[in-house]
Amino acid sequence: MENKSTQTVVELCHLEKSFGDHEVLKDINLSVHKGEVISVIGSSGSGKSTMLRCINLLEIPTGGKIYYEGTDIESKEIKLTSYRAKVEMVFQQFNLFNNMTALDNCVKPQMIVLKRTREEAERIALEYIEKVGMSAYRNAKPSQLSGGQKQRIAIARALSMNPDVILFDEPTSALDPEMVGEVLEVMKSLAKAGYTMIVVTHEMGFAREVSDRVIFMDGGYIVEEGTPEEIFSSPKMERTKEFLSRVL
Amino acid sequence: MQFFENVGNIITKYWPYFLKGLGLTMLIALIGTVIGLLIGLLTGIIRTIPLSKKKVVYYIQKTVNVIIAIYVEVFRGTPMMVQAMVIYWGYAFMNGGNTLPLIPAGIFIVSINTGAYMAEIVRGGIISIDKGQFEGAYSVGMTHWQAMIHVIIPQVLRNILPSISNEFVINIKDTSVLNVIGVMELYYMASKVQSMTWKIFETYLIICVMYFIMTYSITRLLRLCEKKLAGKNSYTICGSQSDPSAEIHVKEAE
Amino acid sequence: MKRILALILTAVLLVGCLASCGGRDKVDLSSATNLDDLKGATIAAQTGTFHLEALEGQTEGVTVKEYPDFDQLLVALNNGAIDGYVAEEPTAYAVIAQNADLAYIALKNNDTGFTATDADTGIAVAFKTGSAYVATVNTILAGISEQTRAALMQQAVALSVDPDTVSNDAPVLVSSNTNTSNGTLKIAMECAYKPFNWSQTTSANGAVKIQGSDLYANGYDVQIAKYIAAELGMALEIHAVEWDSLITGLEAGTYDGIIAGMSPTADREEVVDFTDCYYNSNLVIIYKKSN
Repeated sequence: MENKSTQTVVELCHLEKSFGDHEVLKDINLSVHKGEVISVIGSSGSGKSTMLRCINLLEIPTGGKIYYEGTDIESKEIKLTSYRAKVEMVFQQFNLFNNMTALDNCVKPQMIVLKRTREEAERIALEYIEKVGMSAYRNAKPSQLSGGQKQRIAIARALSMNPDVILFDEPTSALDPEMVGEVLEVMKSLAKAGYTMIVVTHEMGFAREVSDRVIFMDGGYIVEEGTPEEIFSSPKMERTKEFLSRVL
Repeated sequence: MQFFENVGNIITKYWPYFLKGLGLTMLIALIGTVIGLLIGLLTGIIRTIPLSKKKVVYYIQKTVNVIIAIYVEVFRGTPMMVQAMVIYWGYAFMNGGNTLPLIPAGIFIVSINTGAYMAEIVRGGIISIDKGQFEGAYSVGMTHWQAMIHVIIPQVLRNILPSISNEFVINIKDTSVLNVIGVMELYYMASKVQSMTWKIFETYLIICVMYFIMTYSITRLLRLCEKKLAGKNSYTICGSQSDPSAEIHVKEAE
Repeated sequence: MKRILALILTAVLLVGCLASCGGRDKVDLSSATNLDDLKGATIAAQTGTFHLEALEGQTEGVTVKEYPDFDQLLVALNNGAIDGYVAEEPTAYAVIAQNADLAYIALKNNDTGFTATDADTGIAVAFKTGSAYVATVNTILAGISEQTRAALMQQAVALSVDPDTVSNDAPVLVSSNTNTSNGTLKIAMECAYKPFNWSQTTSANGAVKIQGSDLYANGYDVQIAKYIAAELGMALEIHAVEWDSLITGLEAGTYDGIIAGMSPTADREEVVDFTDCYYNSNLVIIYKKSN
């Protein structure tokens, strides 16, 4: 992958999260570099999604710190809403706004959060809707689209905000098998274009082919991390091996 | 027949009074429902704000929520007629006998009463919206207020429209209790006409028909709005910017 | 099948209800002259009045019914639910003037009829407790003779039949004072109790505009109120208020006095001050003539 910088965009330091007595994340340390594509794999309940939701502050961490370009995101120096606009999230269940057309889903957030004019927002939105191959459906309501189409619009919505990082929370898990391909294609093209992405996924093929780094999580810890080659071909940890033998 | 003659005589002589009463009933019911809805939406938004981590803000939020809860319980749990008497005469006692102007007083009473019901209706509407809609809105960087205004409330309104029209119809009928403080709505007018003519059955039958016509037409009208708000179930696949005939119209499967 | 069954059941229930209503044996009261003659009849009175109290306490063998509204008594009598109802004599005049098939038993208080004091059947003006108006108004009322009162009532009854038609008769009670420099006297009444006070659509026959309404008030009470205000050198303002709120509004100070055919009962004396009575009436029984 061409010219990856070593500039850190997001950094997690000793991140902890518990729901009541239930500890989900127990000391997560991770640096995300600009332009890097990180795949997070692991069995259900290992804390992958929770980590992602903590980065977007949809869940408030119960311990540790998250830094965005060196600033503690829970400090007063950074506004929660402008931080979230920089770190966009793509959900398993799409979470498109049901009351808006596909186009408005991409236009309205820009107007509301980034204060762009309608014309400017529409121009940007159409560009990205084109990119995900959904131009023809821009006037459809979410309820009129298939799962794969919804997820592509959700990606266009995230891109329209010109984010620094895009978080993907199992973006293909809720899709029918024949629609998984179209979404993964879009994500691959984003990776090629140099977007910084953290992808929680069960698609081992995608993780192996596209990511710069693969992280294996289990029981609230990052058990092992490395290049796709390292993780998939010669995992060091026993738990990683066991997991991979089950899913591959 | 004597009966129809009586009805005819009452209508010919007193129709301006019935019409005035009808107008006032509609006015109070309409404004009351709209203000009530606004109260409901406002309390709904306030009650669903995520609790702050800051101690001071947290306690303010808690207090406000308790006040809203008390408001809802008190006004939902007491008859509007009683509220009308308490508010109207309570004000008079506290202000040396000066009474509230009747029409604003009537609107006020109906509004806060409807507001209490609407608060619960809106709360139910907000709860019924998928959590993902909030998360989607927050994740793009919207504040709670922005998420509510642009994403949640439009969907809530669509879902609760049947309840809103129901409240409106109830209000048209329930404004009649305002006659106890002398608001000259339709029922009050009928009671006055009835005392002048001593034709109790005929008079109340006339307003019975008037009430029914009002509520029935309102129900039909709002049903139409519901259909409109549900949106077109067709959309256009945009084929070519330059050639509109290339567009394909798709109808959503029912 | 279920639907038909439901329909039949409903029909049966309806018929049952109707049958149970219509079964009463009517009693003809046309030859009655005193309370004893009411035996076996069904007589009604308005809830919460001395009328009802007297009916329950002073008659024997009478089935007593009560209705919350004065108007409902008339409806009940007309449709045969009751044989007669207790009313004040002026009311009886007014009712009979408008319903040709009704008549009344002319009972005399403390004679052939009910035992009653002035406080029971007389009507007085009410003011706020301790009001200076009471004494002044008593002097004014003392100046209205028994004959004038009777004539005024007779005129009120006559006018009540068709209040909006202009009558040629001169008003019975007129004050010579036309100066109204002493302010406004606010008087409350129901404006729905013929012939004492009623509403009408025009200002015919000296009716007074009801505050905040398109209607006008007239009747015995209104003429008395006009006279009192004029004698006090004040302008008159009439407030139409529901019966249950009359005393509340007086206590709150929304208006200065009540002239509403109200009897000075002991209960009311506790919260307001009454003047002397400005009319005393016999309690009579209104009944339907048999065909």
